[in-house]
Formats: sequence, C-alpha cells, structure tokens
Amino acid sequence: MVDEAQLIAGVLAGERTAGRELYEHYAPRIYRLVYRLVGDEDLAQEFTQDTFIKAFARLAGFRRESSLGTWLHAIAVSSVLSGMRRVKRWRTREAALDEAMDVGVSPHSSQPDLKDRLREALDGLPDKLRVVVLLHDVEGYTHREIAAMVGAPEGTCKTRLAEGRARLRGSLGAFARE
Amino acid sequence: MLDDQDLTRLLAQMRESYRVAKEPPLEAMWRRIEAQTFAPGATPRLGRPAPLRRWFPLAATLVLGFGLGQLVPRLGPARGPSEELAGGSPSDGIPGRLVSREGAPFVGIASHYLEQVTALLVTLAGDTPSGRLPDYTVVQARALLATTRLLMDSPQRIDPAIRDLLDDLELVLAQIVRLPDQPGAREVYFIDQALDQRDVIPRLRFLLADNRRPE
Repeated sequence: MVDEAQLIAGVLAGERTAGRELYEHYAPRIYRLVYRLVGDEDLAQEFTQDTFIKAFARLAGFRRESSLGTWLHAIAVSSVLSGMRRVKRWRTREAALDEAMDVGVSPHSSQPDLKDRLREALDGLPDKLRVVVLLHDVEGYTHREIAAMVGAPEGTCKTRLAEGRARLRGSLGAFARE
Repeated sequence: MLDDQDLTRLLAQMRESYRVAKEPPLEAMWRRIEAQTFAPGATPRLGRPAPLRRWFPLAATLVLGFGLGQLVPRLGPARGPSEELAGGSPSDGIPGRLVSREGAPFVGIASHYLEQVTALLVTLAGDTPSGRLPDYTVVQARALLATTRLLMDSPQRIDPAIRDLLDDLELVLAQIVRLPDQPGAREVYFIDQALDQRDVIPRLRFLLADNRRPE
C-alpha cells in the first residue's frame, strides 16, 4: 500500500525515487485503461507518458478532492480525448497520402459474429461516447468516478452512456436475441 | 433487437477481449517521463527552494501560457488606429507582428521555445533528404512536444493563428518522436509533407523575426 501523501511530497521535493514509485504503482493500470480507449500500442504509450508528465507538472495543484488514482485517471482520459482529436487529423492526412501512394487495405475475409460486430460498433462510436461506455460497462467504474475522470457532470455522463448504448443497439440491430 | 440486459452482458464480456493490453514497456516509458520531469534542465523543474517549489509546476505552465497570451492581442485584427500590424494578417495565415509589451520576460520565454523548435525543424529539413538524422533529434523533439502540449493546454486564451501553429508543431514533433532509429523513406516523407504543406518553418521564422525586432 503506497503512502500517497509521502510520495506526493517526495515528488514535489524533486525526489526521482518518489516519482518512480508513484509511476510504478499507477502506470500499469493507466496504460491498460488508455489502451482500452485508443486500441493502439504506440498511442497508448504516448498518452500514458503524457499523463505522467502532466501529472508531475500539476502535482502541486492536486487538492485531494479525489484520490490520486482518480486524479491520474482524469488526466489520462483528458489526454486521450484531446490526443485522439489530433490523431484523427493525422489519419485523415495519412489516408490521403496512402491513396496517393496506392496502399491497399485488405478486406474482412470472414463473416463477423456478434462480438465482432460489437467491437466494430464500439470502435465506431464517437470518442466521448465510447469513453463513457467503456469506463462504465467494460471497466466497471461508477457514474461518480466517471464524472470525475471525464470532467463532466454525472448527468452528462449518464446521457452520454445512454446515447452510446442506444447507438450500439442500433448497430447490432441485425442480430436478434437468441 | 438486442435488449438492454443482453447489451450489458455482452459489454461486460468485452472486458476480457476488447482491446486488452499486452505488457507495456514500462522501463522505456519511465525513462522518457524521467527525462522530461526530473533531469537537470527539464521542464517543469522540481526540487526548487522551499518557497517556490510548490508553485513552480503551475507557474511554468502559466508563464509559458501567459507568454503566448502576451502575443495574442497583436496577432488579431487591429483594434484601433494606434495599433498597427506590420507584415501579414491572420486571414492569410501569416502571424502578424509582435510588439513587445510590459510582460517582456514572459514573451522571452515563449520566444526561447520558438527558437528551439525552429532550430530543430530547420536542421531536420536540411537532413531529411539524406534520411539521416542526428541522434539528438528525437530527444529534443520529445522535450519540445511536451512543452507544446503544455502550451496548448494552457488556461490562457490563445489567438487562433498561434493555436493553428501549435497544432501543426504538435503534429510534426509527434511524427519525429515516432521515428524509428533508422527512418525509412515513408516516415521521412510524412515529415516533409507536414513541414511543406503547412509552411511551418516560414511561419515560425516570421514570428521570431518580428519578436526580435527592436521597438
């Protein structure tokens, strides 16, 4: 069990070992969450690094209104959401470049099952909706925790969750209940 | 049609199969974080004398952001007959003239960042045709990328022209950071494209030249 207060004090005092300990405690969890949200190893590493760099930069302003873990998760989610907006611009440019350079994309070779369709539907959700659906229905966070991570009121998060789930049901509409 | 319970059940099952991460390279990731945060000369710095250290990480962001904020009013449309914009205007994508204000030290900090990023990109533009990059390129780009993102996240309002430039700098620096040890033609091509298409270096040079112009 880490002593958060002690680690925070150590980091603020410039102690590398305190920073390392804090990182080792939270990085695996943060990385797993970030990877779940972005689905790309390089991006997940980049956003996880960004999370800790930003966290160390802002640590003096951490007011302990939430746990350190929740605070770190909030920075991670914020980094993902803002980062994915930029990634989409890159991918638009790269797709145009791929077209110009005649790079092909291999089509699906087999009929997708329900889980494949759900995966595609999740991938296709807007980032803000997908984040809430994943945090609530896949990761199991409460509405209150999600609101703190996403930086939006609980009501807004619940609305996004309902909207996300409605879109998923719509996308899976072809598959009848067994 | 899938009902709510079925969807809830399916989504819960996705925990074991949807985007499940492999073991990340924690050590490599830590080295980069450490270089940004704890190395001498890293920004933000920790371990300052007691009265400053609690405030420095926030102050670093605010100072950099404020430095850009000081540039903001001069880059927008002219607000009165006494204020002039020399050179280009935001409408043609060229940042307008920077006029030094009372907050000169803050403007100096933003200028330092712009000088560093310009130097890196100019060196890179010279080296990319050969496909060989100096070893420090990625390290420097990583540090500048972190600063760029802090500036972009600054609570200060940023002029759209500066925001666009930061967006483009972020894009290019992120591409550089992702370069493998021996970049191939495709990776180099993407960087060239980003630099050329958005006139990143000319815009940086214009901004710096105006910022250095004496009153």
